[in-house]
Amino acid sequence: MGVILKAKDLCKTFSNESVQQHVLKNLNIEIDEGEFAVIMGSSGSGKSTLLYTLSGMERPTLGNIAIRGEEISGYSNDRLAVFRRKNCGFVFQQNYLNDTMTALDNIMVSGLLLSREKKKIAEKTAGLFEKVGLSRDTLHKYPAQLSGGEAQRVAFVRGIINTPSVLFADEPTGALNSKSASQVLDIFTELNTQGQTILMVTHDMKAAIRGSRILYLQDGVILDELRLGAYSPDDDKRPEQLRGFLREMGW
Amino acid sequence: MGLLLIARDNIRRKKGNTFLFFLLVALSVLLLYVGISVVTNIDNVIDSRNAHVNGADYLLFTGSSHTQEIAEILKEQKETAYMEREKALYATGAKFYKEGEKAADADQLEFFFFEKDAARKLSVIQIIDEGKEWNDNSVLLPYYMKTGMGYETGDVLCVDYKNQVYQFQVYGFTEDVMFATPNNLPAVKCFISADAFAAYSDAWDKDMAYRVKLDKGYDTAEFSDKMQDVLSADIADYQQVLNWTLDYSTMRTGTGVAANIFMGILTAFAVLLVLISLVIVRFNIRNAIEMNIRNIGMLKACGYTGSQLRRASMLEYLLTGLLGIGAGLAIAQSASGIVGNIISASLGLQWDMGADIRSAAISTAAVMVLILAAVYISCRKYKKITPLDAMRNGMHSHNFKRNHVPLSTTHLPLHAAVGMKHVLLDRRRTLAFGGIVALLSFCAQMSFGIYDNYAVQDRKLIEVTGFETPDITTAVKEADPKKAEVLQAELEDKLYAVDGISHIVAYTADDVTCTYKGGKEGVNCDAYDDTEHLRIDNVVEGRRPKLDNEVMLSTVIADRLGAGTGDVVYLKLGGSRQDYLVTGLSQGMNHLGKKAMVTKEGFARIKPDIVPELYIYLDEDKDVPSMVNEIKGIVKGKDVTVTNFLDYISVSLGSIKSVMKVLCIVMFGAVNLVIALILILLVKTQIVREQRQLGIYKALGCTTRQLILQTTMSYIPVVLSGALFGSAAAWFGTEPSLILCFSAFGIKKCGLDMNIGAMAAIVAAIVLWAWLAAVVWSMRIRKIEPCRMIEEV
Repeated sequence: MGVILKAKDLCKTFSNESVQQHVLKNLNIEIDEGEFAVIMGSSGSGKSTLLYTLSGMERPTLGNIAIRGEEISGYSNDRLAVFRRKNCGFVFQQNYLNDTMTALDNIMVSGLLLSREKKKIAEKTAGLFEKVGLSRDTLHKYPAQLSGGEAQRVAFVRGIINTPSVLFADEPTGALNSKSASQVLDIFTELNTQGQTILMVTHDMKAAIRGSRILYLQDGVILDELRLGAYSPDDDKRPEQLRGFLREMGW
Repeated sequence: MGLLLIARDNIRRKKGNTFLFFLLVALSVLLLYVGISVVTNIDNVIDSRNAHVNGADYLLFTGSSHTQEIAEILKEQKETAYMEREKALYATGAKFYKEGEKAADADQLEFFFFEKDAARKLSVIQIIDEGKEWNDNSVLLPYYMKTGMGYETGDVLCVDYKNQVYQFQVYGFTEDVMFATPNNLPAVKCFISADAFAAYSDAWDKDMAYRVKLDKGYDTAEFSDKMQDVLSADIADYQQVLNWTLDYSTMRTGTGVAANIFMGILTAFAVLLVLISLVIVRFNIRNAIEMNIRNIGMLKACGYTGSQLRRASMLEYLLTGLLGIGAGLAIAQSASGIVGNIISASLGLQWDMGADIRSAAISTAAVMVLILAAVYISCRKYKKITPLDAMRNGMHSHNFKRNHVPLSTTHLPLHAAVGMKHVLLDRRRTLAFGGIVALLSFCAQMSFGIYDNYAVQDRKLIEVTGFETPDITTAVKEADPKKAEVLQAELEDKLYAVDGISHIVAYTADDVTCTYKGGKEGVNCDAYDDTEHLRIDNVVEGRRPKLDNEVMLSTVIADRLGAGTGDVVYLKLGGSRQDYLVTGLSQGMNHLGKKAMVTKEGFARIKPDIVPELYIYLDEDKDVPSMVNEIKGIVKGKDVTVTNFLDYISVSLGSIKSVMKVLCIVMFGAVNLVIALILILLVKTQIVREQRQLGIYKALGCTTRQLILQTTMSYIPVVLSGALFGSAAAWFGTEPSLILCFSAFGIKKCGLDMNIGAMAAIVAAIVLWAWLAAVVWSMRIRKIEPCRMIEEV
């Protein structure tokens, strides 16, 4: 398995009039293909900024980012958009589904950016719905007719409909109850076992434990990392390992 | 104070929307004020201009015989307060042009020349734009030649009469309601020096002008009718010496007709803009409630009642509305010079009206009351909002209706399909916006249709005014009827031998009195020796007269007398009165719609000695100017005038055409401005409302261009549908609307041809303009950064 995402000397500074805030400071990171990397850190440590910078949604102030060997830091906004639709999938804390569209249309909007084969996309969507435990009826429901967990699973399907190189997830269970959160995390795990590279930001231990590698971010740099290996629900030592690591990091 | 703070905060929060509303109110008030002030003041202005020159109430032009007799008769009438007479020179169908312009493009009108320094108390000279030095060849021209034809003091006027060109230097301009515009009376009243007057006396026809001022309370039109009878009875050959009679009230009405109609249309358009403003108010309020629901909840939680919040909104719109009204009135006042010039071009008189407080008050009150009523009604929702619902963002109204454009099956491209979803989602908005575009397109198409038919195509305007349109006319100027008849017969024979002449119709006209069952109306009666081969299509019922005891009346006269087809009416001229059977009804604005038509033989029953003009109709491919020259060659050396009729009549309608052009430009400009303003408002609101969704789309990989396309596609189908619907309505509705405008003249058909190509171009222009406005405003999507839209809880 090779490196799928690589960032070198990454800096991100936000300027507001005379005040400058250095959020990422000469950060280096490599994510391997098929890896389930989790970024943790205290509030304001720059987790989300790192995620959005790596995914091409935010421009780095300095440094280079390459996904599948394609250097993207110099891309224009539109070129980044085209790059994202091919290589990046997103799941956010809120589902951000379009209220005025059915679940299927919400996914079609994403799918049709890459392919014109509407029937194939619709069929793939139906298959993914089944996989994530959503009934076929859900396809034609509007977001307001879905529960929080269902809506987040629809958003998850939207994130993977174009088979992205990397699935970026920003606190994907943050707005869900524990049952729904667990269902969503199971889907992440299953997808990862099928080879999907995932980069997730979370401050939830239950979510982080699903990752194969934990990166701890503090003051804009990666302080340390913990390699846990593939997730297994029967692995009793895993939670303790993670707790110990986080304790060490001052969590 | 609290309400003022809320109102001020609302204005600050939606500066853009407030500004657009302000602009729309300013534009509506500007047009409304101009329209109302002109329509309500036109008669006063005409009266004041008439008083300024002490204008005559009754004017009579005759040949140079019986002058003493006629003067005595006029003086001894009980209505006469003062009478004066003055010699005039008369040049029928003289051509004229400005020095430096092509003589071939010369215009043609009747010319009356008066001596500038002759003693007169009525219709005195008040010079406008007076030159430095009065010379022997100086001339004073009517004011419309400045406003409508572009003459300036110092220009040289060339008058081509009987193949000789006379040059005069313009010394200034004068006003006279009787001769205000050529569309009212196709004649130019000029003043020249005593030397020039004496020098040209032999070359030009001599006339006598009688000016009468009546005692107050007498109707000038009635006096004119009475004098027709009195003079005909007292002077045996009065009909032969009579040239023109004019009375003040008729000429005043005629002078203001065009301006009244156009300003009426402008006022109607302004009312439409006010209604659009009301729709915008409703849209803004609904939107503001939706987007500020949490603030509203907070205010309610603090103890504000629904009524207080409604009053805050009313205060907000009162402030913005008053500012818009103020701006509209200020623009109207500062642009009063331009408006005055446009009105002056139509009236031929100086539009010297200052600020019109009454019209300003009416416009302000009407606009403000309607806006406040719309705000009051639109704010009903405040009462239904509970603080908890609002703060939980709980005023959702989810739309679970059928998915009209499923992306999985639609044939539309992705972004067009998403745009279409927007169109179908908010049907109220779509219908309101589409309806507005349709109304505006209707106005644009209608104004262009009127302009295209009446200002570009001379013949159409001439037809609706009711003039028959031969190609060339000839008039024998011989005073002796017997000699004139011989000359006419010779001329007719020669003309029939000319190649290219299709047919010739003999024509004459005179003012007669028409009576029916005790009713009596003065009418201008046309007579033709062949009523079958006329070009004008102005019969609205029945047919034209064929026999000498038949008459066709205009709808105005028929309505006033209560007569209809099949009735017998009486026509009276001088002492002669004959009965005629009404065979049909005609229409026309000419002579304020007071017209009749008989055959030449029928006319001879009340006026036996007539020397008609000849109306010459050419074969279709014949060039009129070259035929005019050919006919002039035939009549060379004879006292016969030859006139290019279309040239002659189109000059007299020039001022109407220029006002139509302005109206068309104003309407088209305003339509596009309003569509752009509304579109900007909608696009802006959509971008603000859907900012997050747009950010998410960007995150998913949509480019800015795709999102702009998606946004414009939410409106362009509506604009296109509205423009097409409005154009279709204009296709069917322009003619009826125009008939309504001209209803005072009894117009029943206008014969408008809507140019399908031009209509398509207007639709394309509206859509293109709307698309441009939407694209430019959608550019703001560029600034939306996807990750700024993502919210952490």
